[in-house]
Amino acid sequence: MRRFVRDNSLSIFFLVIFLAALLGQAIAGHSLYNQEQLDHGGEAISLGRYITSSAFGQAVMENWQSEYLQFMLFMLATVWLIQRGSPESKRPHVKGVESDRDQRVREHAEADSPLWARTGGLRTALYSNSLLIVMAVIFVGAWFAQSVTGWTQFNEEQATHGAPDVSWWSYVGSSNFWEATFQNWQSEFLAVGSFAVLAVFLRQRGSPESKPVGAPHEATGRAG
Amino acid sequence: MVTRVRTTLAGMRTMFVIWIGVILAGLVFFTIVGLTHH
Repeated sequence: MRRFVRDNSLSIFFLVIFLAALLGQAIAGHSLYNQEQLDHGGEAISLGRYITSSAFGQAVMENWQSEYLQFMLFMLATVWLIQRGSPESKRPHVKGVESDRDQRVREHAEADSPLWARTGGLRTALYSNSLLIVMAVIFVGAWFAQSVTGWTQFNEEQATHGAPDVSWWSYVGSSNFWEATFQNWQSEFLAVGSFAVLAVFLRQRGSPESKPVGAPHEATGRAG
Repeated sequence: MVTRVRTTLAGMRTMFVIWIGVILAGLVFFTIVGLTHH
């Protein structure tokens, strides 16, 4: 058990703070939701009801989709695009999807390579892009969940103003949906873009996200 | 040595399954919340 915790401390740490932050969001969101309800002559709801509400769902899903979009785009962009001096970038001469030999696939696979890296054909092609595929599925899934929870919430507001319901298609073309979407995208692109360039000149000793402290600024890639 | 590698891999696989499970649960749950107009 102790070894399990030590071997997986990074993912356990983030799982714990993720769940704690989600709980914090639920508690604070519930309090805010009830204040607004009471201000407008509505009725307060329980925490359980708030957690199963579209208001909470939309707030969670709009952040999820943008995070996975960010990872997905960054992964895809770093296959071909270069930031000289960044530990997040490949070296300029290795850009692209690289050779089978460099990627240790098909006849270049080693004894301990994953099975699907060895087989060739469709399985190797799929496995070669599996991280991107899964990130894309989560992004699309979360964006869809954002759209349906946002739509339900939008129609609830329409009803309180005596306005008619709108269709899902109308909602996904609305400024309400796109404002919530772009609001999240811009912050992700800012963070990831600035990180790639800040790490050219700045360091964090001991972190694999940084070049070694003594690595020259012009050295590109993890090893510096 | 082989047993140790297998145990370590099993632990990593457990974390993989937990994370995928958390993400899928969230996506499915909130999709249902939205689609059922809660």
